[in-house]
Amino acid sequence: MPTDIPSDAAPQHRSARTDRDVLSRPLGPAPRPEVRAAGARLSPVFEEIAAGAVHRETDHVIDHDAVTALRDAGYTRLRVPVEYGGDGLSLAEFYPFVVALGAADPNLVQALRAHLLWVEQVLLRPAGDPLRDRWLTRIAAGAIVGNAVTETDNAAGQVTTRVTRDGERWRLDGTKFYSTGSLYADWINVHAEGPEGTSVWVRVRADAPGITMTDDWDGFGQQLTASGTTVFRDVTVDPDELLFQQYSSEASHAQALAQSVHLANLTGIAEAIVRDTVEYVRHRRRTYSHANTALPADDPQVQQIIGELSAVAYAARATFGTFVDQLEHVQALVAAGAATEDDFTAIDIAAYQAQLAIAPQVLRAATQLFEVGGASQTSRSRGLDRHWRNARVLAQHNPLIYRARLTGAHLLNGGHRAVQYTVGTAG
Amino acid sequence: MTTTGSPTTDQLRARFAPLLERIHAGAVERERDRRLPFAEIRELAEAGIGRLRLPIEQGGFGAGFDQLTEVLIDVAAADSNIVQALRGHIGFVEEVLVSEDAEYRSFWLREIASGALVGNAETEKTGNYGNPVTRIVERDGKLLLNGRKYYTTGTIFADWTRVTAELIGADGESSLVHVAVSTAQPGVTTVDDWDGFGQRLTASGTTTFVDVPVDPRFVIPLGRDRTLIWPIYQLNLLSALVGIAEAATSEIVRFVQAKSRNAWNPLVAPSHDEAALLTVGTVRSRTTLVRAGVLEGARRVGAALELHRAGIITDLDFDSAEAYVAQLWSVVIEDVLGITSRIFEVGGASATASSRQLDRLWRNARTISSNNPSFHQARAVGDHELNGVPVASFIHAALAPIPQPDAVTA
Repeated sequence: MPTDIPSDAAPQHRSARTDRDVLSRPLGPAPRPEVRAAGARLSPVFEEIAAGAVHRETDHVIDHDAVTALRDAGYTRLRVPVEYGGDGLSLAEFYPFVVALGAADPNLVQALRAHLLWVEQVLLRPAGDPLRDRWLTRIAAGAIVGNAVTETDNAAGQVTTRVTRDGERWRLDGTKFYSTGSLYADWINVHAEGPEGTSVWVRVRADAPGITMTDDWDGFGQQLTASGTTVFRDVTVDPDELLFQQYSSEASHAQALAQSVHLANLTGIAEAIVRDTVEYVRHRRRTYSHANTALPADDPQVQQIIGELSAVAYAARATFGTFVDQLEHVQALVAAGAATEDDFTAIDIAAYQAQLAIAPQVLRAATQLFEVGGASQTSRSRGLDRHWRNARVLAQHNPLIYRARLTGAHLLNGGHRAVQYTVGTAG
Repeated sequence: MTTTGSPTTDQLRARFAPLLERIHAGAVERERDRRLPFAEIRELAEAGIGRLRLPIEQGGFGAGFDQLTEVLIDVAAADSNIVQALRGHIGFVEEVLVSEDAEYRSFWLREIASGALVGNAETEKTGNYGNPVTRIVERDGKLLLNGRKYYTTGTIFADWTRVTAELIGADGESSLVHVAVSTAQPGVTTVDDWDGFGQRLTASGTTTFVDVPVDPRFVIPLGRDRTLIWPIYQLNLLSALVGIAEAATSEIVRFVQAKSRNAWNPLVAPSHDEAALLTVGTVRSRTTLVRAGVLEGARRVGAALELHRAGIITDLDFDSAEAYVAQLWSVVIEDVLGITSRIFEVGGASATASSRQLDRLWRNARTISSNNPSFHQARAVGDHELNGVPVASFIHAALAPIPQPDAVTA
């Protein structure tokens, strides 16, 4: 995977080009023109989003304009094939954009995660499938999809949200929590139980009668992902949008794909840590009399810490890039109908390993960045603690200890199956 | 070291336990509503937190410095803001106890025994510790204090505040001094404009002094005699960090015990889950070790304080007490920040709910740690070990005028 979003445009809004710009220049083969064009469209949007990140968090702004700007610049259709009106990017071409958005504001990556995953699901439908055509056209035209999957009061493996037949029509009823991004979305992709205990995924319009969304997610990080409660009461369902699909028993690369967005986001946070810490030190005049030098930027220990932070970002990008290349390979096998259970196991374990390599280091960097400054660096007006809070909440998806144990168990004894885990309350 | 008739550590801790339980119960709400702990600090003062170190015959408890530290760790576990808010007071008491000026000592011992608290006002935004713009100038035969201090932690809660200033004598000679002034005097204004993301209730804001009369008896020259104020101040922050580690450990235990839903591993009860067992085990071990290290530091500083009070302290005693405390910083910071981040590994998004405010532990630890970048201390310790340079030279540098760099272009 290339390591930066390419663009024909000159670096935006920077007073001076720094050595960092040179260091982060992509290596390897020149990107395709389509990728460069997308970079030119999206780079200014990312810059603007980054500039507003602290303010949005402080004032808890659910910024529909930012999502609209992303959509208008094509973020939500980067993977959609050119013939449908998208950019047709490969996964390796696409993910640097997710990383860049994560560096600008990780809330928005998370808010649009369900959309990205739905796009991947649609892309893997067989050619000529009406659902595939319909959705690729819709997404190219700007439709954004959120989700509603997790429930809070269910027993493990059970779903209380129901799709039922009501005379001639289908209806949806239930309550979902962590319905990330739905407040920003035009459609919601809901997981429910269908007739006779079937597992069904259904898309309903976010503004359909009977849907109530509450921004009651109160995590201390990722505060603006709108991961709140969505209630469905007698919502009419378009039968064409019913997709009967087993949730948990089939091996797949779905979990690895889902994890890839978190990994991209954590990698973006690592980038943001370096960016913000460099920025802070370059403008800092106040020092300690017992510091090594008059200016913090000249202090060897400050320089050392910046170097260490940058190595975390580098390692995260390298690890994530390797993982994306593997994911792309498995995705191609799946598209060709040639993927085996072993391929799914391999990509599942790779996702665990990437998570184990990236998440603790990013959390550590988000803590260590404060070693370059004094108490003023903790000012809420700078919002630098958001990096730790956001990374901590992202790392909360899927505890690392399980990941390490499952990886070790597979290496020792084999037998790991890439099946979807379930979330619920012990019976 | 305790004097005869002094309470044991367990007795001291038991004395504060019920009050600290109440203080802990209100910590999340105070944090959320940003309500400063005026009442809590007043209650602690009434229970004797500010006079533990005074001899029994002078209205105190005759507690050793290590015993005081044990109690402060308990206070920090209940609310780390309060320990930092008491930092100036704790240091001031030790200065009084070793003062050779009998009149000064007896005035302040009486004042402290009666429950008075002393804050501090040292740091400046415009000047710095060794070269303050805050000044005491003689006018019409009276000493008047003028200036503005930032990070005046605890002053808003205190009856007095210890101000560092430049004293301009009648002859124009200037020297560096500290002086305690009553916060009730007209001309002393404290504003809670501290906006850090952690330790939000320490009221480490700005105190302004406008023509505040100064009692010449309270003016003490700075830097003339060697003191242990540096390790005492450091141990205050280290105690706060250990208390936070204790709070993180016990709060995550309570969180897991109260949980019925084991989101990622539904077939296992939360308290038997491997992630919970490993996480709790690791953070408990690290908490125990940092606690032991900090208490040993307190014991050593306590022993040096006894020598100081007896007038038989040597440079070597200062050196070794300072070196020991300096060694604690980098490891305690790293471990406590690690603990406050790792507790979330027990799993589940519900641990991150704002209503629990579990992130305040990391935010508080991070903010306390930002008082001093730990690499400064680590470097001083390395210089001590490799080159025999006393940590004191690092501390003196810390108190020296800061060279003013040229303006940096933005």
